[in-house]
Amino acid sequence: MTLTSRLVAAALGLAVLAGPALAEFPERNIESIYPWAPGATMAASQVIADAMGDELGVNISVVSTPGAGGVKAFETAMSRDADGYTLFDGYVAPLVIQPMKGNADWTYQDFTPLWSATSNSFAIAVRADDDRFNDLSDLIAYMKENPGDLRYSPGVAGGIPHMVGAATLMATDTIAQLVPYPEIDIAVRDMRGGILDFMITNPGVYNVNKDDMKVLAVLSDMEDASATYGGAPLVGSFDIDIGMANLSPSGWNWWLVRKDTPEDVVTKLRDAMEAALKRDDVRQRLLDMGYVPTGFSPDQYEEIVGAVAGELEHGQAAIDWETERLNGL
Amino acid sequence: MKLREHAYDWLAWILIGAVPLLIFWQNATSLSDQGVASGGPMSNAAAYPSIIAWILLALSLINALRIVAGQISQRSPLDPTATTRLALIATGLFVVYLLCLGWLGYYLTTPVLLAVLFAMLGLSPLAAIAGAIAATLLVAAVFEGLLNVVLPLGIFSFTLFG
Amino acid sequence: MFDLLLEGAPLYFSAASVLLTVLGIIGGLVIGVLPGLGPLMGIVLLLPVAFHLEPIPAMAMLIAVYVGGSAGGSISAILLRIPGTPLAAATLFDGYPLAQKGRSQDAIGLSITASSLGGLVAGIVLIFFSPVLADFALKFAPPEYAAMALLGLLTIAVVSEGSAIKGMLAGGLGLAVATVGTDEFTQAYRYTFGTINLTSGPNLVAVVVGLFALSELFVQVEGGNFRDRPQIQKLRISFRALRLIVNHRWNVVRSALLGTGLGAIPGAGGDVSAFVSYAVAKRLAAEEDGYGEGAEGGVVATEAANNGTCGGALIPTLSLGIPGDASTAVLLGALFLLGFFPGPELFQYHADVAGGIFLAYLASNVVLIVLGILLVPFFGTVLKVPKAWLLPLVLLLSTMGTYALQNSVFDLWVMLAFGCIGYVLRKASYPLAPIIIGMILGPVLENNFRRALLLSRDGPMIFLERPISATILAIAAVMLVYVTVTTLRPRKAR
Repeated sequence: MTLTSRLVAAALGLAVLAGPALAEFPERNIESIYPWAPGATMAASQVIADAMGDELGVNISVVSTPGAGGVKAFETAMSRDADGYTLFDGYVAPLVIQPMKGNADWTYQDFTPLWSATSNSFAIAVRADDDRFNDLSDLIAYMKENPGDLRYSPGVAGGIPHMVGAATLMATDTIAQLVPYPEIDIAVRDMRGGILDFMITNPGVYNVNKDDMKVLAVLSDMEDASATYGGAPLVGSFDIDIGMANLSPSGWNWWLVRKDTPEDVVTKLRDAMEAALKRDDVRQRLLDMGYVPTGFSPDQYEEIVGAVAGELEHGQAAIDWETERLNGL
Repeated sequence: MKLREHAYDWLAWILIGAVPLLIFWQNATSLSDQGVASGGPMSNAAAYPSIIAWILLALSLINALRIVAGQISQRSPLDPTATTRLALIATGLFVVYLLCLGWLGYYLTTPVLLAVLFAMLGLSPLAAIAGAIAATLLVAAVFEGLLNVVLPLGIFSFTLFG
Repeated sequence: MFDLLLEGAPLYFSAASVLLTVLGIIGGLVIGVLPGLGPLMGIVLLLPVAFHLEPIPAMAMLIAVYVGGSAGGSISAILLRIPGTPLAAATLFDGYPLAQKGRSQDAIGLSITASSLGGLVAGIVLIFFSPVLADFALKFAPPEYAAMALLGLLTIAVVSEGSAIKGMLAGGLGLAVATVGTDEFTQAYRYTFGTINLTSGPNLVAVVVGLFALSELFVQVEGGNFRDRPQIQKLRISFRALRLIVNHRWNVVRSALLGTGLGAIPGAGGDVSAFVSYAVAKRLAAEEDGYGEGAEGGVVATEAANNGTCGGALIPTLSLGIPGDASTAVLLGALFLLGFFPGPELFQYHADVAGGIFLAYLASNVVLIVLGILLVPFFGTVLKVPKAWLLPLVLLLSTMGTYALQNSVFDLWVMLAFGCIGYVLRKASYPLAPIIIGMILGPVLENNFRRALLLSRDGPMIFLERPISATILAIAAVMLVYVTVTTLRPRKAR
């Protein structure tokens, strides 16, 4: 229901006349626990939630529960009953990175997967009118000559964009001053103002700021990723291997439920999510927002997430390397 | 010391004065253990809060001197009114309500709290009960029906408009 | 400037936004009319609802409540001699005597029309100045934002009612509360005391509801008189005020501009501007106008000014992200949580959102004049609702509203704790608004401070090397010296 029709229905008193409870799942609204503050990414999750809710005939509300790099959301969802009425919006950070850092006591194997939702790759961008750097080679050459002189922001410190950024620096043995921002949108402002020299952006931010930034390289080896940055070259085309492949250098989420959820409930949720993700209008809306629907099925969970976990260790090592280099400057 | 005359001023002073102490204590324990209480701006999460703590401490000190020197313009004695006891009982009830809310759920606890409060404030028992039920349902209809919020379900997992 | 409005038009003119503007004005007027509540409380109670809406309808509703609430307080001031909000305190001078002369209808009509027109004048200033100020703010980098946050906080602490030292203590408390949570730079848990619930800090809304609503409820219960129904003259709908206001057109414009100007200075607030513009109007008026004995001009001056303040307070809020008063601080928090960052980016990248907010503000004032006049008899009825009904309902709405934000009972405990803190601070005459503003500006201050240090690599000199940040800090220093001097000078008890 749209907000307007809902308001009208309520005005007519219809909302009060909810039908008698059905014995079959789902008989009430479902919550999807989303691990970040509201914003563009949450809107993408809401698109999927709305479509999936349509399929199930109930509302799925996306509840923003930010905190502790996503751990708070997982803890919240974990404290609920395993009845399928609480979904985990399983982003890489709480699912893989936080357990890896020892901040959470679960592994990805402790959940039952639904479908994988979306992914988004990251890219190195500079000011649109910055003529020092025409391509990635210029940037690297400059950093080699002036180690530590440039300043860059990957948004939040310790996240995946930071990992791929640090991995790129490590792979090319270059270094730049890290300046973290809790919200990458604000880093764009300071890059435009000349405070920052380059940044690690995501497609959502790139879409909004197209006119002000020039993408030097997409930090991924997936051809699809290039399309979300207006066809910018992949990092591999500069003969650089950042040591992370496939999904691991990108942000992605995989919707999950608790392990002990009844099988028939899981099947219903999976079917609904599959149907939702296959709808053309849903795919188009996600793509317009810069999020690529991944379409991985529940059977692929083990294989894909398992591989990612290993490669993210490499990203963490890159961050440690970067910290050491910066301290030594 | 005019302790009585400035009772709330002193209470507020203790309340605010405790904050810097909490900050210093946590900096020395929890933040040091996490290894983020030293180093440069990137790695030192304790430096900025320490600045705030020192400022609070200094201001608290000045404020204490002002109270002692009688430079506070308003008096703030405890002075309970005829209905302060009622307000305290209502607060106590609210604490019980919060304790039960997660366990028994919205629909069982809310009408009880409201009915008691209405009656305490002088409405007739019948009006209190009818009003409590009506308000409970109305708020539930708005939050659950209109805004898709899942109100506390309780052990019975009961909901009307979800 | 009009392209902003054009861009915002498709976003604002939806059934939901317009409907919510209307509902917001009604809700705001009602909450303003009720003694003890006010625009801030209205915004606070509706925040949770707002987060379940699309951004523009949500902001439209909150802004409408802000506008309606600021205007509504005058009605109880005129009828009962109790200002519904501190904003309406100056309306007493002439509003009540006017009502005593049997002209309560005219007094209310004038106060509503003056509010609305004052708001529209402020709206024009807002639309014209915000983009200009935002454009200037493009030169801002982390050092400037840190300095600006410091200055904003200092002003609010100093200007708000009560002593400057208590204002600064309250602001410092807000800053301290803001440090709780996950540190943005190290990702360490700071002052969370081992609970996962505090890893994103105490919920801002829970804190606001606790500090303002719960402590107010306690004070109200202590006040007694739960079943009183005040005596009020019978009120009918009348459009006469629309004709009367024409005589006061320059008064409206002057008072509104004064209000806007004062509102744009963080911390000055509506009550200050209402008193100032009343004093100016009185000085300019002829002896026979009888200011203080029921002069129409007195009502017009205060009401035009205090609604003008709303528009003024939105200017620094939207263009710099520095709130003008406690209500706009909460509006600012709402914008953050809806995913928008006030400041130059808002105007550059979300021009449609900025335009939509401006339209919402203008539309609120238009709706205000219509509904304010049509609903006059209804407000008479509202004033007769006894507290016995009202107080438990406000408690229920505060509780469920706070719960609904994150479906968390923990947030309710936070709300209760801050309710107790708010009560004690209130009794000791501390201003509460600086706490909220400190909580909102805290992360801005800390993150930009540390970021500036990272950028400089050689310590805090960066703040003085950059001309804009040096200037802002100099202003802050001057203010601090001024406060120190006035605080140290012994004062007589009032």
